[in-house]
Amino acid sequence: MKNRLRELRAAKEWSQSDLADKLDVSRQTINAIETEKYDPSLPLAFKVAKLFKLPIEEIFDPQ
Amino acid sequence: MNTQMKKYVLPAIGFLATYLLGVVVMNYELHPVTAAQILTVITFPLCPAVFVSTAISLKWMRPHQKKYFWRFTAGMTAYVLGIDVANHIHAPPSPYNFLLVLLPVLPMIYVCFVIIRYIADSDEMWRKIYMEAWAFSGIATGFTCFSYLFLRDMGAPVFRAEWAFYLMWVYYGIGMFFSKWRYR
Repeated sequence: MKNRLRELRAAKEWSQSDLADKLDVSRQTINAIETEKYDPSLPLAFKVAKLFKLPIEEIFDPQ
Repeated sequence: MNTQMKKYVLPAIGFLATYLLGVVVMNYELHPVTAAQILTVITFPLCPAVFVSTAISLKWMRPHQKKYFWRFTAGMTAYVLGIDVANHIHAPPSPYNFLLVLLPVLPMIYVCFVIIRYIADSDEMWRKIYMEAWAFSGIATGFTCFSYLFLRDMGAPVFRAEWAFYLMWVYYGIGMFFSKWRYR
């Protein structure tokens, strides 16, 4: 699944570790999501959307 | 040295120092001669070395990992003490003496729950990685042990029961490697 996580994180000037702490996941999980190796669960996707104050579909593209 | 470096270098130093100290002390105490004794001197110090390096890493661990470390340590300590006590009890002959020998199994059951709890508390991607590795380990160990039955009938050397335990960890390591590699 394509996503804009890296771009949104960079805009906030957060490191992967910063974002991982905010979402209560490991840094490796953030890296795997950004590199599109791992698709987050629905609860985690909602957490990401809430953190960036954006609708889920603007962050994750299921095409 | 930055934090990221410290996170890996300090536990590595702790591991090496403890391991070398363990090897020197055991070598001095045991004076190993046979292959089994040499193997013991080489492998046994790995346990305190892993403990020390993990204890150093606690600072950078997530809360559930810290909890796991202390619970696992408590379980293993109880297990070791249980074995020591079981070895020193001179109970009068009774058909129920096997219960004394089984006492150290109780901390092992606790350790099993601790490991399950750890996996359940891990974040979702790690939970998936652990589950894939354990699934591979369980299936591969089961099939290897079952396949041995055919080899045994063909005259293969005796397969000792404890080897299944070591095999399980080897397969778990292989499973972890491939599962982590998929999400790297």
